[in-house]
Amino acid sequence: MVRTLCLIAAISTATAVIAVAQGTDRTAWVQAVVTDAQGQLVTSLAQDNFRVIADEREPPITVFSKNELPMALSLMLDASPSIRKHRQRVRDAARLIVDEFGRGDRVNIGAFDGAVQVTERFTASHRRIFWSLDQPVTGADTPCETPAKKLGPPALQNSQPLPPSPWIGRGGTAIWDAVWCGVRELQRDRESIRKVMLLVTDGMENSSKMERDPVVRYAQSVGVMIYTVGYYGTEGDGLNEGLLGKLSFETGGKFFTRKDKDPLEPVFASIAEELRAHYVLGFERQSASATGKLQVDVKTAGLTARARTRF
Amino acid sequence: MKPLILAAATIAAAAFPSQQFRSGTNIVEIYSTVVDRNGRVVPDLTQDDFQVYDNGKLQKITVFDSGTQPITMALLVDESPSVSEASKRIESAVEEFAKHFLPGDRATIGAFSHLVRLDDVLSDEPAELVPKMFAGRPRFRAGTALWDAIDAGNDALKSETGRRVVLVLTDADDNCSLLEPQDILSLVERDGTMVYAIGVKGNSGLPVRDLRLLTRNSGGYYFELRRDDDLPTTLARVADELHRQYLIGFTPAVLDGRVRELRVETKRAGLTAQARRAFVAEARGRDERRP
Repeated sequence: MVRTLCLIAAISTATAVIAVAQGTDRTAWVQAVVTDAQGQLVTSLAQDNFRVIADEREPPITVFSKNELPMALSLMLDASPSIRKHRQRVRDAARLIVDEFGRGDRVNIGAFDGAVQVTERFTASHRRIFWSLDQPVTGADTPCETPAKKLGPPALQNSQPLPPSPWIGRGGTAIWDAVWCGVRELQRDRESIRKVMLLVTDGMENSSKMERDPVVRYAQSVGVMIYTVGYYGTEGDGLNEGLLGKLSFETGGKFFTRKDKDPLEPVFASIAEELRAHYVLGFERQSASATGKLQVDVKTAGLTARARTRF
Repeated sequence: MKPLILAAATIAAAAFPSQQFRSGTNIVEIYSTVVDRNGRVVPDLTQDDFQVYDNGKLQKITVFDSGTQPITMALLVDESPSVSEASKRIESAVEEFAKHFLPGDRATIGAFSHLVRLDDVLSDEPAELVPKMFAGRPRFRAGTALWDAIDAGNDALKSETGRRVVLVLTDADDNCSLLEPQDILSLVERDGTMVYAIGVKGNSGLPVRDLRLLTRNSGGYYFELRRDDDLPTTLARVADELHRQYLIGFTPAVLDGRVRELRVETKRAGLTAQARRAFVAEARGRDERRP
């Protein structure tokens, strides 16, 4: 009896197809979500239903995938005192996404206030993920140095319950630094094509060393789709709703807001459903370093595709 | 090492002077490679040259065989994107290694990225599996599930008796296994599987700390293939080591189901015995292997 373990991908014996499927150094990968006029997800489209407009060109779509590619997820959680009371709710809600992980899906859990920490590696181990979420600052044990901010102390080992973080806990909210750090971790995972970030925060940006525009450009260039969940009412300063919404729009993700007492589960369940409905399109850029405006259209009337706005 | 409640030592018909071991009582089987200071395999030792310690206590060796042993193996090849720059080298390595299977060897050959592909039926003609393995590559490969692959290899060998070896060719850059390195360490301790690894530097280095620990504790070995290494020579050495291990057995005084420390030494100066460093002290019959 032949037992093929966990084989969910289509098999192809054609070398050329493999080469194309894996892409070249000129391939730009675009994640897209399609909805109908009622906002319902549409998951039954084929390659021919899509059109890509890249810097006023319409390059042919050379790779198309639906539910085949694993995802690398950066789960970047605000660790400020005001949102810590919701930690259990965030953890329970995060389980909705992790429980839906397919083969190869993995996560790096980050935490931030005025400083940012990430976990050393991505993991798909549910035990490790939930252990991390149980830790005071999510088990993120590695300080993230942005280009504009240097941090000295070495990483901690995370095999035991972690002591209080020497980096996090000094206040502040560094959203752009956090996004930059999450994108960097996703960029480092060079094997993933689908790169997603989920940012949960209740604060106003007030202490990033990085500026917004370069961080968004960085996320777009790496191809990270960013979902943001903004908590209202826990932090006196309010929420950067406009900035967070724009961040998600420009990266093809989606922005959600919650009031202090609102349950998180419906939002995370909705995100989990979207993550299973991603299309991945690949097209060839004119050069490996080419960048430009990007638009993904669906040829069927009444359907809308959401994707990053630059490549 | 797992103690087995077995009937008697039997001889299987194959091309080896020394055949697949079938132990007779609650014997703990240990397969050991002895090397000199220069790393050369030392094949001519006798039973009196060895000392075996169970939790620090010297044991009486009741089984010993220094003859050539057949290989029972699950060979798993990393086909993840992170080894793409080394893929030709890995393909050559597998093809080269397959030449070293001898009559009587049995193996299954598979590959892994974020998916693990492995046929759990062992073949008497392992070399014939190589083209099939390369031809079956999935369309998308987007991760490295090294620990899950070793688990699959260990699982494929679960119904085998005697020496069981999982050999992986990899850049060790795991990022999406459901299992963690310590899970695999516990499994191979329980099952007595030897893990060998050939490290091939991929696109992002070779983070081998966990893999080294696993291979060493299981009694296997980690070989790192450098760009200027002579591939046939390196792989011939791996195959030679696998075929020329000493079989040493003892009957543990205590079968308490716990993990016990195992140490194998040679009395001759300058020689090092590589062997598994722990076993689970539980009585289990041949037909009572884990499901």
